[in-house]
Amino acid sequence: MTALQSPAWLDGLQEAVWLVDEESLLILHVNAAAQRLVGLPATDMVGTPVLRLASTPQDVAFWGEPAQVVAEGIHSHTSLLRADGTLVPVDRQVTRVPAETASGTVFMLSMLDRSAQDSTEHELETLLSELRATLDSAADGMLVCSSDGRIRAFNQRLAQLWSIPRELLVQRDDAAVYAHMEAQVGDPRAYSDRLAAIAREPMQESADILPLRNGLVLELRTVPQFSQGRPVGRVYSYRDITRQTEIQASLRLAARVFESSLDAIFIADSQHRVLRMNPGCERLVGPPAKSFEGCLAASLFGSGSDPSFMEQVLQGWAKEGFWEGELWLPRDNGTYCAVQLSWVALRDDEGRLVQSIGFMRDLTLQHAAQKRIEELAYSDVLTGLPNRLLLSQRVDTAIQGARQSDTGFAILFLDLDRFKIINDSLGHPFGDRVLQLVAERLQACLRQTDMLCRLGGDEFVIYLHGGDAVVAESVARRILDDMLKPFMLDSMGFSIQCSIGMALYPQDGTTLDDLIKQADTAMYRVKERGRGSYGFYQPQMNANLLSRMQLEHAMRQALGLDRMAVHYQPQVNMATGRITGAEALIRWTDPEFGAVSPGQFIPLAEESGYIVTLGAWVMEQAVREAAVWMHSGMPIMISVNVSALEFRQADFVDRITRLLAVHQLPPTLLELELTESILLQDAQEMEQRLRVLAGLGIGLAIDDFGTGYSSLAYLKKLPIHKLKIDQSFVRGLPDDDGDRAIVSAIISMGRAMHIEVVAEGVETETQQAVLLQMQCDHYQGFLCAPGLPALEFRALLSKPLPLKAQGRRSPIQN
Amino acid sequence: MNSSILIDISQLRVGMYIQLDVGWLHHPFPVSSFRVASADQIATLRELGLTEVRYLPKKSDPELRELVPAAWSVPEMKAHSPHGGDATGAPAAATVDPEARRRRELLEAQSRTLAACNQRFGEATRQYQALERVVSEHPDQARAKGDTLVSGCVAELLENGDSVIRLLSEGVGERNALHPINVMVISLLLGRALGMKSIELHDLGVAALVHDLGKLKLPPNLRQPTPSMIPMERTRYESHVGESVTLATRMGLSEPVITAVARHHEMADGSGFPLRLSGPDLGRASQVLALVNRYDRMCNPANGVEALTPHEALSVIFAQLKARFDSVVLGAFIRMMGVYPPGSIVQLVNDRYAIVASVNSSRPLRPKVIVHDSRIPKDEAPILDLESVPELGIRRSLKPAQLPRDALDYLSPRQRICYFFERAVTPSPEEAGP
Repeated sequence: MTALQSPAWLDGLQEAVWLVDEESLLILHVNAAAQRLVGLPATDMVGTPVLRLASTPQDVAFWGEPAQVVAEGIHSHTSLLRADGTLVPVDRQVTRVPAETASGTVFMLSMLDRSAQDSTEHELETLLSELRATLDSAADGMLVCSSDGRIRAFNQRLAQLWSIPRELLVQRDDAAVYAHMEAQVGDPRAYSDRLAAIAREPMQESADILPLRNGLVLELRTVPQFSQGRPVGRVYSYRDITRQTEIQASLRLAARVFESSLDAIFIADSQHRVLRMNPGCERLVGPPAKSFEGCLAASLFGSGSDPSFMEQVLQGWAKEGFWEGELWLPRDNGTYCAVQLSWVALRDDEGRLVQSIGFMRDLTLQHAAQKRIEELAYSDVLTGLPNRLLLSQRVDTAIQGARQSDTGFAILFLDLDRFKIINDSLGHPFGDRVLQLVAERLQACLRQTDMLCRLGGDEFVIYLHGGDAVVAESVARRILDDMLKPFMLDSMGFSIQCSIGMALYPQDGTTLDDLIKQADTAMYRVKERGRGSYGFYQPQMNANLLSRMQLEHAMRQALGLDRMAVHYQPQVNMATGRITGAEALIRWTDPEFGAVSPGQFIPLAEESGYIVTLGAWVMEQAVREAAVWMHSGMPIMISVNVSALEFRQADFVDRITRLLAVHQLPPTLLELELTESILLQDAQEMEQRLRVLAGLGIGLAIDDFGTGYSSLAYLKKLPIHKLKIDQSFVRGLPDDDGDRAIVSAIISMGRAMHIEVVAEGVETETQQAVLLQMQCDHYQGFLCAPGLPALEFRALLSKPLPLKAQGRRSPIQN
Repeated sequence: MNSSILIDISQLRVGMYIQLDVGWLHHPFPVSSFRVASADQIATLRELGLTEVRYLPKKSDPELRELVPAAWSVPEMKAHSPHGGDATGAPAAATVDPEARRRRELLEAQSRTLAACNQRFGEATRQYQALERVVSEHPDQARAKGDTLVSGCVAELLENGDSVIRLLSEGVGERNALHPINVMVISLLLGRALGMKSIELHDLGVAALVHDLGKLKLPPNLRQPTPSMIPMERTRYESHVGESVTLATRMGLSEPVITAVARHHEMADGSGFPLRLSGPDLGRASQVLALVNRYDRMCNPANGVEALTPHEALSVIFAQLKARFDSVVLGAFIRMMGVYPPGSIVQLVNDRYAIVASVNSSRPLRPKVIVHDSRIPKDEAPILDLESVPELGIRRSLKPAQLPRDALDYLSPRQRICYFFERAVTPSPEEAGP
């Protein structure tokens, strides 16, 4: 062991070594390394107390311990103050070693310079702290795990993104951290599946999007962590992409809107040059669309477009941020298309124009659509008639107009009687077609300014423009008449009767709804009374109607109750002064109405068609009476009025023939008085029938000649035997020059054409004298006699006429 | 329930209920606990030479309670007792002590004390910040706040020296108010160790609290000296002493306080600033303040990586900077702190990590430590008296950040930020061994 004392051996050690005496604690020996470490020559150290060189409290404390404690030695890190004043970190050990001293041992103090190691450690620490700082400053949340999933590190950002609660930050609990994260994601199951998949592939990199329950969207990227080429774990980085996701989503949406919008959209740059057009815009502009890109947007609307156009647009932008207006867009085929342009300016935060967006709508399409919509909205699908909506617009307009001009209008409510039977027996499709026919026929009864509207079912409403009670009544009557004409459908003939209620504006109501309601009420009253007629809403309006109806009713009954009678008015031959003929005139005396004028009930009979019945009855009476006259030796021609309706009856000629035969009256003693209007209707057929009658020998007279407006040509064509000068002309004789001229002309014409002339309504001798002078053939009138009952007429025949009636002032004149 | 606190005798008022710790034979009063009834009684107490008396707020007149505002946050005295001298002495053979319950109680008591001090620390730093906020506008308010704060600390923190030192090493509280509070607390501890009287202590505490107030007038980059500073910057930095004095004067602080503030950068060897005063000119308070200020800057530098452990800081000051400090003050400081101050993280020669629980002033190299042993729950961790195991010495001291995380969690549960980087490779297999 003594060899160990060799200074040369100690000098060979890298460690600095002092040998210290156990008793005195003086340094006995130092090696070369110690001299280098302390920076003092051996001579300055040897013999010095070790305490003088011991620099730290630790060393002072150690060497101050009792000897037996020091003897136990020490091994720790401490520092050494070098001669140059620097402090060196050292690994210092004190042990007791054998030596050639009195005690046999010395303390060996060895020191290893730890400077390099310390600075390395320091560097490492600096590096580590920089790394921590970097990690904590990172924008992404980082999570570093070992291969088995243990969390090795994470940064503050991770804690923030995942809202990791504080209690999880201050204690290590990987499971709790994982559980917390899993609870945060929107779809925990998918998330844990995904993590498991990532864990199964330690070498794989991956990227996922994680929507969290708090609304954040995180992008998770993970990469394996390598240490010396071996994967030792995994680094997860979480980036908050919530904002980007939102922006992207809205961009995608905007792009989709742009691409799929039916509106034409173009985007222009700050210089108003077209940047892009959407497909809608390309369709609208047509094939040259592409060529407009880069051109001024205004040029879309024609190169010659008003130069002030852009000025207006700029003004609009300055004022409201957009401009709107209708423009003509030239199309590829040389046509123009009306468009509505909304041009919006997009500005940046400083208010500079960045872009602009133009939205164009094709107005032609819009117009067509508008029209279709209106059609659908305003018309009845079945009949194509306006519906109630359009009617109400029309009526609203009329009401507005009425306020200003003080004119009224009428609303007619029309319902087909027993239409249900058609539907039920022939089926709805058939019923629908009937409705269409009815609509057509109703429409034909109206003027352009009126409006027919179908309410639904078999209900129609008619607006009569400017119509008062009179107009309404006449229209209603016309409709009822027209509807009575047979309908033909699928070679099936049928007739339809309807009931009409009428209401008048403004007296019955001031709104369409009111008026329709009142008209409906009126219509129901009509139905209650027995259908097939019409009625007003206000009962007093019906007074006239009621009396007519009562009259008609009475008229129909009168015949059966012998309240009708035929009277005969003589016709006198002016040349002879003898009665040569008589006109059969119908007379009606009602117990209630008294004597009813034929002028009152004949039109009623004509309107209702009863004239046919009535006419036939008069004809029979007249023929029978004429036969009586003839058989009693007085062959007098009987003249009977025939109405148009009666004359049109198919069996008219047969009936006359039969009648003459039954009563054995020669046809030459029968004369038919026709009105001019009969000759105008169905001229062809009429002519033929007239010829047949004339052929039989029946006389044909034109009644009320001169009051019609007909052409005189028929006098030449038709077999007319007699003209009857209307009494209105005769009344003016002899003073009225006009009447004289007319009467004279008629008489002249008659003579020239070999047609006899009868003057009606002759009441004075003067008239008779004038007519005689004019060489009129016959006269008729009170001068001779009014219409007389058959017995009185017979009596008249049996004695000579008074002289004045004969036209002879005195027998002397003869 | 009757929690009591030590108060300076200057705070004693008529109406307070006190308890005298000196024996019955040593005071003239009929009983040892009583309500102070007159000014005469206070004078008598002063004559006894007492600097502090034990004060029971709950038995005192209600209106007096707020005179000692922090009193309510103080833990009960009973909780303190296991922690004192007898506590550290009792588990002499901690490794073989079978009584886990007792150990746990000990640890619980200790952590209660730590928690209470911790809370008090946080409060103190906030109070300091409040002072900072008002000092420019309302200097008189700032003085009142400073007085209150120091009084509270004198009363409470000095009671728990080891815990306080331990916490200081862990850097609790508001970061930017850490330094003034640290310096105040250590200065108070050191002042007491040096036998300062209560008034001197109070002045020292106030001076420590306000010594760097002048830095409020400096831009943040000039508040800490760096080797790379150009002379002009250095001058600006050094001007903070003058600024602090100005503020202290405006606050109306006493002459001794202002003097201490003015000299807190003066060194015994004349190397300080601004006046380059030397040994004989410096008062005790200035010497304490200069040393403690320097010490805390070494432990808590602006850049955390440069931080030294308390042990290292002590070594450097003692080995290298001895000349700059008064030897009496430095000696007292070393004795108070020990070689390994409480709270030091150490590695034993068997590689295990431990934290220094308390210092045995007669055997500074062999304090009592709590050893990291993952097999034992941390609330039952044994306190090991290194004096009893000669073969198990301390190898080195460490910064908490250098510890593996589980060891850190185990030993220093307050100092923990889990997301700290952890070494990717586990250090050594023996870490898990016995």
